Amino acid sequence: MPILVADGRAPGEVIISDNATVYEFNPWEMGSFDPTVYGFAPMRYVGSNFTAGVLPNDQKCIEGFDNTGFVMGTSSSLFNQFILNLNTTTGVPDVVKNALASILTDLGQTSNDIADWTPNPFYHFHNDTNPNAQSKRLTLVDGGEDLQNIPLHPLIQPIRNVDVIFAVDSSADTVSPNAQNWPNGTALVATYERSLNQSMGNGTAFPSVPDQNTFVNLGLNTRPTFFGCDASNLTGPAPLVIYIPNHPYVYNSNVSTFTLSYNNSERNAIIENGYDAATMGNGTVDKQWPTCVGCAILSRSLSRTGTAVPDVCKQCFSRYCWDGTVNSTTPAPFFPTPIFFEIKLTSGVKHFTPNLFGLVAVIGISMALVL
Amino acid sequence: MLSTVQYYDDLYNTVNGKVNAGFDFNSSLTDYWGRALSHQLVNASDGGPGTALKKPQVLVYLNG
Repeated sequence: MPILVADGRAPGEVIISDNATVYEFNPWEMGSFDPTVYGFAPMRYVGSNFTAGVLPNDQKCIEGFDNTGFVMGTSSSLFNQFILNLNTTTGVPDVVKNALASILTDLGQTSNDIADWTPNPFYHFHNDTNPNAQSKRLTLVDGGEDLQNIPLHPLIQPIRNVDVIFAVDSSADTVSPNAQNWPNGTALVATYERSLNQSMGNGTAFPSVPDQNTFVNLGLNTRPTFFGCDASNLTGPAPLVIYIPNHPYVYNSNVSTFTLSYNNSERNAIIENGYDAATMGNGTVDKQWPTCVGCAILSRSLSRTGTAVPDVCKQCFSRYCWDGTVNSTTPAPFFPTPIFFEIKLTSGVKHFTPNLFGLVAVIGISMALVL
Repeated sequence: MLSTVQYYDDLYNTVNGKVNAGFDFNSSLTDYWGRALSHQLVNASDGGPGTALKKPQVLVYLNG
């Protein structure tokens, strides 16, 4: 089941992770588990004029607003700005350029990342806590703008009882000159800290994770790591997190988030590198890795049923579970080199996409899978 | 495969269709971005302008 995430942000506002409302979209509902909104609207009828959580008698049911592309676009609205490139692209009809110009006139350049979900499905809903309750307009932005770049928030809701999360991190956290575009655990730290926040945590729990410097100093951003291995040592029921960071195996896959297009050869190299990062080189680096993934998936049900942990799993957990060690000193510059032989790209190959919009599939897309 | 001109016209017409639907809808750059994404990620002709998140074929496609 796909779950997409966005953050609430009014025009002119700046996102602060601890108080921005996180919205989720799934095939049935959109809404938020956060204590601000704490409610969901039926996805199928979003676009109708809801008031206080109901559709008034004089209002019609409107369908069709729940467009897949619009939901995906909302969740990735950081890339809206590329649309503005059309203004200087030859061959683009004037009518398109004029339409874009009028949107900018309305919202302003600093709000070009906004997705407009008017009419607000949560109008007059939870007036006491919902910051948008008085507004007919609901504006949402890219779900990574609060630094929760991996959409973990929907998966740590206690009601969902998730056992394990594969947290694939392709974030471009590290910056020049000390490193460039590799993850350093920022996404996990953001979700962890928010879960501890008195006002926004709302009963969620997330495994303890160290600070970003420790991620780099201990190499936790270079290989898979399990967080929350000991179910009895958590602030509440929480999944085990299998963290899989983007790291070079066969290609330096640390392309900038805003690289607009890739040729097929580079695309394939990045995808192959992602395969190697997730499988530890198809088991070459550790032939027990597939077994260890199985142990991680089973971990919560083993403890729930009081089943003895198999010896092989004990070995796995001693190898892959973060043991609580912290080293918060400023790390040395981080310039990893590919673990295997680097793929040499061929040149002059066919381009991946026919136009400037085809940049999405292989950009630093972060995702989490639930089993 | 759409021609470039057809492509831009499709972006414009589908977003315009939303704005002119007669309801209280606004347009934002995300409408155009979302339509462009759909051409890459929704497995239907013209990026499935009428494809809702609830449709089963979309679930299958997104889940790979």
